[in-house]
Amino acid sequence: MNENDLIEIKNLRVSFPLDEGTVQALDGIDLSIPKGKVIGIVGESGCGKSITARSILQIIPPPGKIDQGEILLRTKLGSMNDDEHIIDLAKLKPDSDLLRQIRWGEISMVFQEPMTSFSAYHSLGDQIMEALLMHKDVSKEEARQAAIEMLDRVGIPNAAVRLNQFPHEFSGGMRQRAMIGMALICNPSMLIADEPTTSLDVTIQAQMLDLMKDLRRDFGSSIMFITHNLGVIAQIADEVSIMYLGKIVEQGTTMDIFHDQKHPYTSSLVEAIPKISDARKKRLTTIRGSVPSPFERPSGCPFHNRCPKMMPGVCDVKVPTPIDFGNGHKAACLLYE
Amino acid sequence: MPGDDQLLLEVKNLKKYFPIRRGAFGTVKKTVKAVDRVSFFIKKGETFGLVGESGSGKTTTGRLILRAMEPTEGEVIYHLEDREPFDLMKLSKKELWEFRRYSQMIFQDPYSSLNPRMTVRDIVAEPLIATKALQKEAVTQRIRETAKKCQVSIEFLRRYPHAFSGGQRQRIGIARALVLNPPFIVCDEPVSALDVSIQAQILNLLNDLQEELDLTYLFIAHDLSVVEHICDRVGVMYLGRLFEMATTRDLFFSPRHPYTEALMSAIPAADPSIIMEPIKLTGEIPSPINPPEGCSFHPRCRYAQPICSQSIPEWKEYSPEHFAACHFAGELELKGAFK
Repeated sequence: MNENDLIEIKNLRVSFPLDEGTVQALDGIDLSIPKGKVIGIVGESGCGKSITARSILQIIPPPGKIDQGEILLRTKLGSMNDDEHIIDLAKLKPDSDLLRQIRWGEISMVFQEPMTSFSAYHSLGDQIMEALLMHKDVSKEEARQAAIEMLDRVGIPNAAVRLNQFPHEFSGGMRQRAMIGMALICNPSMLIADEPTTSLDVTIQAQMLDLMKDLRRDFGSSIMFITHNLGVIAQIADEVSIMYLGKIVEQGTTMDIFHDQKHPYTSSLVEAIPKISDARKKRLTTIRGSVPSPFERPSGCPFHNRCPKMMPGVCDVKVPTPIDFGNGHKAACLLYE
Repeated sequence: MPGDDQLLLEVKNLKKYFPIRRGAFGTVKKTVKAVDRVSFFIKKGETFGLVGESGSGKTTTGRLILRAMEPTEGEVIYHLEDREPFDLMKLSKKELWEFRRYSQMIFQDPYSSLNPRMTVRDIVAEPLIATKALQKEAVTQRIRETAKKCQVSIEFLRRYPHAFSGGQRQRIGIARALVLNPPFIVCDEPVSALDVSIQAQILNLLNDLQEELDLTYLFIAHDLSVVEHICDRVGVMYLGRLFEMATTRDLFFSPRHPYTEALMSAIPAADPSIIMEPIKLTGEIPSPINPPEGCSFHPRCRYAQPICSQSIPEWKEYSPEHFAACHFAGELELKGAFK
């Protein structure tokens, strides 16, 4: 494991055994998350981006399970002498004490739906304080103070009063701010943000992205940012991984992904989005067909039946392996083999 | 204003107020002005976009101009090819049924807008049957033609919607809207639930159909890059009011309303070498139950002056076809979207 990395995922395979057959949700993911960086994960629905995030915390919805692979985390938690050591999260039991400490204490998560991710029965303050009381040795009064400071930090005006209000009294944008506040209250080393701005309006989305940039600077946390919105990813991420059908097809710096794509899927995605000041009504580049059913995984390269550069007899037979283009830029495409 | 022969419809002073009833006797305490004094026009063969944040009233406006919802007040004058101009709001129930042949709607969520217990054929046929527009024998022929235009395979017609992906479902929804050959379609967020690659397919399809069938669209969306791509003219809504209306180029690159300027600055550029500088709007969109006095945007506006909290700005044409409702629309030098 590289010294600058907080997390390293090696050959992670997750499957869902269902009545209709087994769905290979993740098919050998390799991903490292450096300290203090924003890593973007991009892909269409069903590509496994949320499952990757949920695997880290072992909150994969049943009957999904990790079949193989390692999720290495550098942490002080669970260490005898308070030194940093490396633990494999994939080996921990989902209900083990250590994993419970790591969830929220070390890695926290912001979900897409600010409407449903809070409990409607408890005040916002109680929910934020609970996170702190569970993980840190603080009194209730200290927790309350910390919660007020945090709400203030994420831009909720009049925090001391708002703390006693219930989630329905907040607007969507405010709720998402509170969610981010709750995620950061224990000062975690990593924040997983799963489509955190998808249900928000553009001006609120811009505020949110600003807030996350500030927080990364102030707290030094790594952020794993999952989205299907390429505009958002271009603005916030340092490095990007593009996923398709449970595999990472390309990864590199944000500049590489937007200006020097190697994989045809990445180029198609970047070309398919309408850009401001394009000639109006110009035809957009499309990717033919749609993402195949998870029960009918194509042979060879999973993208071959939609790929504009498909080579018959090669792409539908051989499984591509990632090729290194230097400086961490990798793509799994047979064009380069 | 363009001449009558260019117009498809004109909306004048449209209002929709929802009463809030409280207490044991359901007395009306307050009203929510979901759409308030909105006036605009749509030209034949164009795509007119309506943008705004959630709760701005854009969907309600879309429904009102089809009279899928009864307005509180206002006129919607249609200029259809084979008929004298008429006010939709004055039509009787029976006349309204006939009018359905001229306008249809495409919905946002392709998962919930198709009845799972009907076959694709029945879904597409329903408008024909409901309006009795065709003889029984001609129905099958029309369905096949429409399906082909919308890139829905004929074999799919016997199947049920659950078998299809989001993109295919949206095509079925488009086929249902087009089966009556209407000249006017209201598209309510037609691509916002779709993946990027599918979104591009549907946008291309909508453009092709418009060219082929000479359609006019009202395109309601919140994704500004999509709107910029597909629309000829755009209106911006905020808290039930129309703030600005202009050609897409003018609206995006020389806006006249400070709210439009803020929206444009917040579009995330899909290029990491562009550094965004979004204008920070303080606070949230206010509650429509207690909208601010004067211009409803003034508490968040960085150019606000005392007059803004006192009087509601007039809806005025500042340059040809460029309308805005701001006291300073004629003076401010506002920045448009990045290029």
